Amino acid sequence: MWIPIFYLALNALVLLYFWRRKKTLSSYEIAGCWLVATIFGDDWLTIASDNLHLIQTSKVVSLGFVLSLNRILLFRVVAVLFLDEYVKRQTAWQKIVVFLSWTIVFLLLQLMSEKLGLFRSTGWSLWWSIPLWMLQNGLLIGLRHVFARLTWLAKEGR
Amino acid sequence: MFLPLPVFFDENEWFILISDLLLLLIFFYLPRRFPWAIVVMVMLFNSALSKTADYTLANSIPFNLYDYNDTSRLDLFDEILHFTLYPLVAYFFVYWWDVWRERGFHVVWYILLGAAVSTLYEWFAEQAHVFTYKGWHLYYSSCAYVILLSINVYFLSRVKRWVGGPK
Repeated sequence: MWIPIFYLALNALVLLYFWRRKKTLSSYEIAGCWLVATIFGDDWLTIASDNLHLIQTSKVVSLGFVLSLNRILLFRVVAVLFLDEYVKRQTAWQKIVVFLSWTIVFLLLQLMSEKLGLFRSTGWSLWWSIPLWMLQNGLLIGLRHVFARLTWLAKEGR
Repeated sequence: MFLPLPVFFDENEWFILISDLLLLLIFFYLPRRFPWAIVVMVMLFNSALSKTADYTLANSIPFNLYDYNDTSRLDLFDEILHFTLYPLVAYFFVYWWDVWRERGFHVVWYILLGAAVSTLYEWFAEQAHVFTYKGWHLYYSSCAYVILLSINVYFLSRVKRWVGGPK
């Protein structure tokens, strides 16, 4: 019973921090990156569980609810927080450190989900998650430029 | 398989392909009303919304209320549905809302009309076996459309503000 309460509190805290934080990204970029992370995460979870049977999600209702909540909120907010932190940094070294350390944050969140029984691995190796989260983070960095460009074009009337 | 092909290429796949082609033709034929920033964001929003809604209602615990297309897995035509069909339908909804809004059409009537048309379209999709209900009813869909279309109207006004276009 404590696991859903723990995750509810964690989601609320992360969301509150995100809400109060002074952000570098524009609202348009935040929305765009949130949506891309949603599509990426949902597709990965569905393909890994239903298509490839590499992970098995919990059949317990409360844990299923938590998994959905994390999918919709926690992982998306963390993805946007990563990008905001990345954009804030000025030098290449700082950006590399942010990129790698937030990849570790995603890995730890995933590991915690597995340890707390939200899903269990039936063939998925945690090592595979390193390129997975790197891919997501790289995608967000690239698409953020596209969103910035689109906003600029809209302001130009195109 | 990573992204399976349809088990049988039959009426549900034809329904999606023909709908998609028609909608794409209309998309390219209609004069562009919004900057690309809004077009992209509305489509992305509806792609993510449909994935989240379908995954939550059709695939996750405790719900398993319907299947879409041939299998309960994610197949190629599910992705076509999520990446093109839903976003295009939603784009036309906000497109025509933007047109009719200027002519003084009330938002409540527009959303109800949109929900009715969407429900009818889903009924055709169900007849073509795009959806197989396992506890879901068309009545629930009509209620869901009222909520989803209202969110779309609100989202459009937000995106317009973000990109600095006229409200």
